[in-house]
Amino acid sequence: MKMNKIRVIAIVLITCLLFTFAACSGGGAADGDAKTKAPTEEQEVAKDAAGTDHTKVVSAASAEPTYGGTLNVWKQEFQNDFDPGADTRANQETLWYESLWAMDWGLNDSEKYPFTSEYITGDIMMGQLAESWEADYDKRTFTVKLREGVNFQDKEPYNGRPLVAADVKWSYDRLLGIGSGYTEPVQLMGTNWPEQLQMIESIDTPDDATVVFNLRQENSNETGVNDLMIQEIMIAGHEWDELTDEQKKDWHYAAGTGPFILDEYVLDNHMHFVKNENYYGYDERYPDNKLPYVDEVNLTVIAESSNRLTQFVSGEIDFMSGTNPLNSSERAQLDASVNADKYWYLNKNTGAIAIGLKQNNEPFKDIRVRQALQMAINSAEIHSDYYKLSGDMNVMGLFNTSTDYSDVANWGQDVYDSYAVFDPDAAKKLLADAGYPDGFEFTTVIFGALDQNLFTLAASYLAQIGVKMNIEVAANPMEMEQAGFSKDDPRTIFKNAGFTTLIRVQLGYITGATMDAVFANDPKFDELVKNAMTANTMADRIKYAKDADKYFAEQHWILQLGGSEQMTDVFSARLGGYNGEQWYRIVYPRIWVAQ
Amino acid sequence: MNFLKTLFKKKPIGGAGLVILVFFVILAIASDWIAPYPMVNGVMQSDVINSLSPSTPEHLFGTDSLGRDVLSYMIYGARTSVILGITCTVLTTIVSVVIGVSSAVIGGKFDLILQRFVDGWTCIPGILLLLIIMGMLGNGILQLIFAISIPMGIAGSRMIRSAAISVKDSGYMKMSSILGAPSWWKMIKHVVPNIMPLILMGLAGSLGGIILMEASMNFLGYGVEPGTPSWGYLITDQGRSYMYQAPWLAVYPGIAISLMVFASAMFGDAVRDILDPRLKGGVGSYSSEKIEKQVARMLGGRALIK
Repeated sequence: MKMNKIRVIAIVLITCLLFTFAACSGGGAADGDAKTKAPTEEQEVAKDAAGTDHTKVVSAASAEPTYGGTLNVWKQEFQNDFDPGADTRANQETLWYESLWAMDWGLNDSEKYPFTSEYITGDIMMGQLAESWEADYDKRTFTVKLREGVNFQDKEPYNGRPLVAADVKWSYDRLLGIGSGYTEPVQLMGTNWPEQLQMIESIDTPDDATVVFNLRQENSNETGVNDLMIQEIMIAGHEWDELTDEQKKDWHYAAGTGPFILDEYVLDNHMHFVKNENYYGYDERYPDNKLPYVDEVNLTVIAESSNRLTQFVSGEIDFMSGTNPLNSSERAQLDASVNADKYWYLNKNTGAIAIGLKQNNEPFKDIRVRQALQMAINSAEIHSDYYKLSGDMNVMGLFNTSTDYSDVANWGQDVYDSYAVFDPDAAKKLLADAGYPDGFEFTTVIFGALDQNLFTLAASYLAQIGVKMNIEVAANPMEMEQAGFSKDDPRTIFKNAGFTTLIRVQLGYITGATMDAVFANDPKFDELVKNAMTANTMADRIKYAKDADKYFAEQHWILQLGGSEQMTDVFSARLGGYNGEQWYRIVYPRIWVAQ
Repeated sequence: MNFLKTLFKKKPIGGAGLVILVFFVILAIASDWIAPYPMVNGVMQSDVINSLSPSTPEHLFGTDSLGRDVLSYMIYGARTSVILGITCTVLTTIVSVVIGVSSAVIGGKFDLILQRFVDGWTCIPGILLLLIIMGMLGNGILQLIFAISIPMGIAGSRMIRSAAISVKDSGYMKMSSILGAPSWWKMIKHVVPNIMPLILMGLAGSLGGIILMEASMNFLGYGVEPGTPSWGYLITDQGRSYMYQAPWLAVYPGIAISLMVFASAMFGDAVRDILDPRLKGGVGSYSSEKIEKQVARMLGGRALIK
């Protein structure tokens, strides 16, 4: 009896061991590979100006427009702000509002604009509530004609009345404190409209369909008008002033001219929208088709990424994109899921992940040290073998290469090579020349949400030249701020390269900037950025920005970890008429879904 | 030496547990010499071209997504587990003894206040407490040691206090008080030595729980810093993401954690049985059949009346 027991236990143990070895023998890899989608005839592989691969599977639903159905979308969090002066870009869920201009969505032509960056200039803005516009720099006026037949949604406080020019004037006046009863700008958290719209001196409304922006002398030029147009100010009406403070916080009074009406709102949980039957818009691609296509939109807060992924795989949300796209390991998880043939991807370039090298710290003061660190990072290997990306590696400077502000080809071969060529021997020599033959040790602090493996990989490259990089995950945002923006803290922090707007550059790198993590204090660089910001023409702005980009690249103030990281947006195959553009307020009414 | 003899003779499974623990300690100490791909400047070396490779002669346990040799990673991971396990166990015991013994010996209002604090502390779910502490302190081995040891030590102090109270009423303690010995003297000279078996049992028994806790914290993303080899981190960072493509990334660290927890539990049980036979466990220890036999022996062979 006892022997039998021992035999049974032995057999169970042996079976367990066999299972273990079978599982680890590599067969699993084959399974995983089989589930990973290989390019097929259905896939369109395109390349935008930034060299980003846009790989997508054309879904059955994309063939013909269809009405009805529900679009299900997730949000990281809601702004919980119904004020029309709130930041439109941040409030992409405010589907009830519209602005004079909006990003040119180009839904049928993803090649036209990559929609993978934030770089926007006036010439790719399209009129939303504005029908046409004209600038007269001598008279310092910018005249806008409003679209006809636009009505507010049929609910409090506007009750479906027509939109008039006075509404536009009211919307701008209150943000700037220049009329409509406002002598001071309205104070709204997270916005600084007076600075961003400083080109506007006053606003006139000669008739109900015409708005005239009177420009300040110094801004009566091409860049002034461009900077005015790219601010997507939500248009509401004077009735807002008559609401009580309580009503202004009540979603029942959230109304505008937009394609969807807010029908239900649960704080930090979900928003439900229904179609605005009286919406004026038609689909530019199918001029007979009235917008929007879907009957309902559900926006649900799903803060946790693995939960989001699970809900996407189970078909409860229709796409995962925006500020929290998939990183490489999430992409791998999705490839291995059972529904891998039911969605398509859009790889996008999110700017280079980098570490800001504080110039007040001894080792980083020396440009040879900075160059050595960069040459020790095998960017090409990270691009092709870590991120599994094909095509040329994307080398980046101050600006994202998808913008007109960056021109890597004009950097010069030496500067380009200092980012693209992996040469640990040369790096060691540079370090020795700089007085660090045995390397040194430093600590970098990162957000938990960043790709920690990329930093681990970078640390292993740096270890080859004797430099030890410790990685700390910040316990909270204050610690990150302390480590990054305090000159006395020896730690370095994650710092992007490849910005898309001058504003970001101004915030992040010039002397005295609030988010300066490199403490370069370089008057030449500051001057170049200032020139770009204040240029009269877009051509001048682009020229100065390119100069700043090249200078920044030469200085190596940041250590780039493998060119640029590429993230992946993923979409359900049931979506139609959509190429992955991110200006959701604009694209939601133009998406249709398979029933 | 006698203890070891007794352990291997009377408690062979406990002895096997000790052997396994010693094996892991040796791995931890000698990892730089044993690991096929040793660390360079304290960093595991990557080879992304060979990422997610299954078992090969070059990489017996395969590689992870960064191309790191999993066998080397496991060996260095033992270092983290051993450091954490030993440090946390010792620190937990010290905290328990200090709180428990001082509370019992000093008594009065001090005991009352301290014990209400301990009661309150133990009301908070352990994992929640850990997450809060780690959220405040950030990731890292030192933070993890603090976050595991202090709460566990406070919770474990009640058992020590109970034992210390039983010693407190003994004659030699009363004599010591009459002779004017200060409290700290009584604690060190009389109480602690007399509850030492209980302390040692707690020491051996908590090791497994601490290793599991470390793995759990790493799994939840509140463990060691990125780049520090750790079994729990390997499971959460690599195993979870590549479960289908590379199951070995979850299986091997899973086996190592199970083995270490099993070994420490068996060793802990054996230590308890040897040091305090009254608490002896094991198969059939408390079965009615065994109790009846023992009682019958005590009664001179007469059977119990059923």
